[in-house]
Amino acid sequence: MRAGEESPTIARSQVYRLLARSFAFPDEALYEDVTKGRWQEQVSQVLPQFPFELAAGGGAAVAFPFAEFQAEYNRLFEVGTMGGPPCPLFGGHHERDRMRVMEELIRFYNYFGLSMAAGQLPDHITVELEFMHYLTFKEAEARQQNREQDSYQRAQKDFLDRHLGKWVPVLRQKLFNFDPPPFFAELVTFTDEFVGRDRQYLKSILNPSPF
Amino acid sequence: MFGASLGSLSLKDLQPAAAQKVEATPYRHWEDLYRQRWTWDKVAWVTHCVDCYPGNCPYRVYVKDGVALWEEQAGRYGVIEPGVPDMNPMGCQKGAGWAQMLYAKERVLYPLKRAGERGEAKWKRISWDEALTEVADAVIDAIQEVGPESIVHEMTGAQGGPLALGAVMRFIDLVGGLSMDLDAVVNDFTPGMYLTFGKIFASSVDDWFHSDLIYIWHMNPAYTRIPYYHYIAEARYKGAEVVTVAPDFSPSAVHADHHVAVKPGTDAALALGMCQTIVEEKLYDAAFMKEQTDLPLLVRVDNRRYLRESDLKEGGSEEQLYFFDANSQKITAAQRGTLALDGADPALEGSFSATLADGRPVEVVPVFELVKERLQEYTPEKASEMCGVHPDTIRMLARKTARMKANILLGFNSGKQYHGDLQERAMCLLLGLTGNWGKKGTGIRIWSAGPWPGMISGAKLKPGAEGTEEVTRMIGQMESALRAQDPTLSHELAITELSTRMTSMSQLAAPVFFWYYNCGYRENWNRREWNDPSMVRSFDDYMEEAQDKGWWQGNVRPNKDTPSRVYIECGGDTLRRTRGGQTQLLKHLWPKLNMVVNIDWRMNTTGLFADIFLPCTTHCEKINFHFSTVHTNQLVFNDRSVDAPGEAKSEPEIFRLLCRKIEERAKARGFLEYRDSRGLPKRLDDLYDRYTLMGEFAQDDAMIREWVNDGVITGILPEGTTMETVREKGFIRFVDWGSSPMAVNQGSDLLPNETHCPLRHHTEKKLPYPTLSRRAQFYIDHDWFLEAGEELPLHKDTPKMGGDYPFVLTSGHPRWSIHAANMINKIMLNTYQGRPFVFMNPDDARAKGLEEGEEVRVSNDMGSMITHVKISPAVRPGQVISYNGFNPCQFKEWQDAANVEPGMVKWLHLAGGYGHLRFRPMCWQPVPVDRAVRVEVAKID
Ligand code: SF4
Repeated sequence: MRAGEESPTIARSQVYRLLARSFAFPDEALYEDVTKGRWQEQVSQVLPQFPFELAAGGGAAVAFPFAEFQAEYNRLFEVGTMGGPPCPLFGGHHERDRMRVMEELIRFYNYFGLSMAAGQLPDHITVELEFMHYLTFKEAEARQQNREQDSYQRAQKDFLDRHLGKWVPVLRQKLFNFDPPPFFAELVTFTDEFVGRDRQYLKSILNPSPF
Repeated sequence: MFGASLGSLSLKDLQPAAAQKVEATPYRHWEDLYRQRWTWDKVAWVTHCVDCYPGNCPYRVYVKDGVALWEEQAGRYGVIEPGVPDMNPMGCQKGAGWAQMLYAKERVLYPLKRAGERGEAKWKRISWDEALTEVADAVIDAIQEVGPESIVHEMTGAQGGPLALGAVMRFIDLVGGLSMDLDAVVNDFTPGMYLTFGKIFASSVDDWFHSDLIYIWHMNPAYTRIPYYHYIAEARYKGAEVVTVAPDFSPSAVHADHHVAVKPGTDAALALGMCQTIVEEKLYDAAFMKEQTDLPLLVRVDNRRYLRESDLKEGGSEEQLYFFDANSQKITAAQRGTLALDGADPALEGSFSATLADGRPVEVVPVFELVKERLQEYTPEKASEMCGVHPDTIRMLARKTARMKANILLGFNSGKQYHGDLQERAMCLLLGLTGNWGKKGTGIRIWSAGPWPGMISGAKLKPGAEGTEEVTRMIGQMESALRAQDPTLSHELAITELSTRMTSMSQLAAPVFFWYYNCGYRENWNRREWNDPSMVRSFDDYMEEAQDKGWWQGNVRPNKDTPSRVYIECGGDTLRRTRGGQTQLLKHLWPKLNMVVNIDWRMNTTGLFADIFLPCTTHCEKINFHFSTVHTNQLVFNDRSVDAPGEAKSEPEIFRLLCRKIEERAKARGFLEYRDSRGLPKRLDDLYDRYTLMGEFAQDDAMIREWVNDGVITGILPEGTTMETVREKGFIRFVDWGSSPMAVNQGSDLLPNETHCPLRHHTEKKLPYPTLSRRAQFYIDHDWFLEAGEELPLHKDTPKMGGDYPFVLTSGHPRWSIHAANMINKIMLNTYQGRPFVFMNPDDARAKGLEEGEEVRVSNDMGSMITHVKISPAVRPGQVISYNGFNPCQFKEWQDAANVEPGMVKWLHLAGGYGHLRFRPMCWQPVPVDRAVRVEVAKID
C-alpha cells in the first residue's frame, strides 16, 4: 500500500476505537446509540472499507430498559455471583497466569510510549482494543508521513496473536452459555470476527520476521 | 465519528507516558519487550494484612506501571537471641501469590446496589454518593426506629488489617452501634487456658527452639504455621523430641517423633492419664505447685468451696483464700499481692480443720488432695479406654514431661470443641504439676495480640503528642487509683481490671446475645440432646440466671428488645464463617435487617446477600500494618505501592465519607441528637469532625503516621522511629508492651536480645496471676461448675451435636488458604484439588461403597453439603475431616460445612460474678463450637 491508500487502516483504527468504547460500562449515550440504530449505522458505514470481508454485527435492538441493560452487563462481565463474573472482560482471566499476561501488556504499552489511565488494568478489553486503535492509527499516520510502518504492523500482529486474538474467541464461547442479551451477544461475536479477520489479514501482509 | 480521514488519536484508557521507544528502536518481535525485564518503577514493602495472624512476614513487591507484578520474601529480620536461629525467611505460598488477589476475578471495582432479591446477584452500579446516601439513611432510620444498637458490626481481622478494623470500630463507637468481639465471632477461644490463668498468652516463635519436648496438640503447624515451622525442625535437630497429638495422622505428625492418636474429643483423658502417672510416681514439682498454683489452697469438704475469709469472719473477703503452712502448722492466708511464700511451706496433702465464723469446725483439704482423688479415675489403663492411647504411651509421655522442658503448642482447635475448656485445663494441670511454664522453652501457647500503637491513637480526643499524653496520663491515673484502692494489684492486674471495666463503657459486645436474640440460636442451644447431660436446666434458665444475677450487667447488648436493623460486614464473610451459616442467618437475622452493607474487595457470600456493596482497596493499595503479635513482636509495614483499579476506596476513607453523608442527611432530616443505650447523648451533625479528630485524620497516611508517633511517645517503638524509618526498613521491633492489656498479660519483660517466654513475672518476680485465687487456678468453685462436676478438669464425652449420626466431623485450617481468602486464588486452586472435599478412612469409604473423588452428601439434623471424598489411611475410622475455608460457591447448592454445624455454646461459659469469670473480650464469654459435630456420609445416587 502506498501513501494515500490508508483508508482500510483508518477504518480498522476507527472500528477498534468504536469497540473499545462499546465494551465500557454502558452509559446512556451508548444505550441511545444502540437503541436508535446509530451504532449499527456506524459499523455499516465502515465495513466496505475493511481490507477483508465482514458481515455487520452488534445490531440487534435493545429490548429492555437502560437499567436492565446495565444489570446484564454486570451479570455477564463485571460482577456475576461469587467467584466472579462468568465472562470477565479482563483477558488475563481467560489465561492460566494473569500476572504474566499483564506484565507483557504493560511492556507492549510502555514500548510504544503508553501507560494506563488511573483506575485501569492492562488486560481489560477496552484497553487492549484501544491499543489496537493506537497502533493502527500510528500505522496510518506513518504511512501518510512516509515513515516506517513495519513496527506498527508487526506489533499489531503479535498483539493479536498473543492477546486479543487469543482470548476473545474464548470469551465468545463462554458468553453463549449465559444467555446474553442480543446486543452483547452480537458485540462479542462481531469483535471476535473482526479481530480474527484482522489477524489473518496482518499475517497475509507481513513477511516473516527477518529476526 | 467515522470518516475517510485519519482525524485525531482518541485515547481514554491509555495515555502517553515515556518517550516512545519505537521511534528509536523499531519493534521487530515480541521478545523486544523483555529486554528490560528486570527493571521496575518501584520496589516497596508489603505484608498481608489478613488474619494469617501471627503472619507478619515482610515482603518486597515489584511494581511496573501501577501494577504489582510480584512479591518476594524479604528475609531481613535480624537475630534476636544469639544462638537461636533468626526468623528468616518469613513467608508462605499464599503470601507469595498474594499479588494475584489484587487482580482476582472476584474483585469488585464499583459500588453496587441490589437490583433484584437478596442473593439473586442482580446488581446496579451506582455512584459512591448514591451508595453512601442509602447507607446513611438506613443508619438514621435504625437509630430512630430501634436505637443505635440495632446497627451491628461483627469484627473480623480477615481482610483489611488494623486500618480497616480501626475505621469501622471508630464509626460504630461514635454512632453507638455494636462491634461484636472479634475472637468470639471467629471462634478463636481458649476457655480452659483462661479459666486456669485468667488470661491468654503466647511465646515468641523462636522460643520454641529452647524446648526439649514439643507437643503439637490441637495444632497442625505444617499447614498453618508455614513461616515458623522451621523452629520445630531446628529444635528437633538440637535434640528436642516432638509429639503430635491428633486423632488423624496429621500432616504435622509426619515430622514428629511420636504420633499419639487420641480419639476425637478425648484429649482431657489423655492429659489426666499423664497427670495420674506423674502423681502416682511422685514425679511432680512440689515447689512450683506450692508457689505458682492453687494446688495447696484449702477447700471445704462440706460444700466443696474454697475456704474464704468470709467463712472465717463476719464481713470477710470472698476472695481471700488459704493454705495450710507446714512450718507454722497454721491455716495461713495466701498472699494476694505476691506469690512469694516468705518462709511458709504450703501443704499439698493432708486434711485440716478450720473454725468458721460461727465457731463450727470444718474439714478442709488442699486442692491437690481433690486432684489426686479425681486422678484415680484416670489411671493410664482407664484413660486409655477413654482416649484410645496405649497405657504405656501415656506413662512414657508423662515421664518425659516431668523431666524435660515441655512446651505445648496449642492451636485454636481445642476451644472449638464443646469440652475444649476441660481439655485445656487438663493440659495446664499437666504443665502445672511438672513446673513447665515461665521458663524459656516451656509453657502452653495460643495466640496473643502484641503491643499496639493504634490503641492510644484511637482513644485520643486531640491529635498529636498532646492528645497522646492526655490518654497515657489518664490511663496512669486510673491505674494509680485502682492500685491505691487495692495495693495487692500489680501493673498487670491493674491494667487487666481497667480494660475489663472500660469494655463495659465501649461499644464492644459479646455476640452471644446477638446470636441468642437475633440469629435464632436459642432453639439449638436449648436442645438437651445436643448439650452435655450435666446441663440440668434449660439453656434459657441459665441465660436468665446469668442476667438476673448481673453477671453481664452493661454487656447484654443487644438486649431482647433490640432487633438488628443495619448489618455492616467489613472484610469478613459472616454467611460463610458463622457456624450455622446461611441456614441460621438468612432465616433468622436477614429478615430483621433493613440494610446489609458489605465492604470488601471481592464478592463473597455476604456480599451476594447484601443490599449495598462498597468496594474497598486491598493489600498494596493502602498503607497499613499487620496486626502485631507476640509471636514476632515486630511492627510490620504495608506500603501503598499501587493505585486501586476502578473506584475502590480504603475502609477509613469509606467511613469518613459515610460520616460526612450521615451528617448531611441528619441535617436534612432534622434528626441531630439522640441517646445511646446507656443514656449518653450522641450527635450526628459533627460526626465527621469527631471521626477525623477535627480533620487531622482526613487521610490514611496521617493516621498511620500518628500511630507511629504514638508508638514512640508511649515507648513501645524505639526512640527516633519515624514514618520515614518505617517506610525504609519495613518493620520495627517493639521495645515494650505499652498498656495494651493482652501484651501486658504476657507477664514477662520484652527483652531486646531474648526470645519471649510468657509468665516469667510470675515465676521470677513472683507477681500474682489475674485469677480469683491470684494463682494458676485448677479448681473453679463457681456454683455452676460445681453443679456440672467441672470444678476440676475431667473428661466428658462430646455431646452428639447435630444428631445421632455415626461420623465425627473435624476440621482445621487448610494449607492453601488463610481462611477463605485464598481458596479460589487461581494459583492456589492449582495446588490442591481445586474443589472442596472431605477426608475419610478407607474402611469407612469401603463400607459406604465410596470411591476416591466420588461426590457424597454430608448431613445431619442441621443441614447438609455435597462434597467430594478423599480416601486416606491417615484418617481414623469414624472421623471425617473437612478443612475450613472453602467458599460456599465452590459447593453444589452453595451449602458448605457451616450448614451442618449447629453452633452450640457451652452454657457454663455464661458464668460470671466470680473473680476472673466475667465478660472479657477475646477471653471469656460463650462462643459457638464446631468440632466433632455428628454427621452421616452418604453416596449420591
Ligand atoms: S499470608 Fe501471612 S503467613 Fe503467609 S506470607 Fe503473608 S503474612 Fe506470612
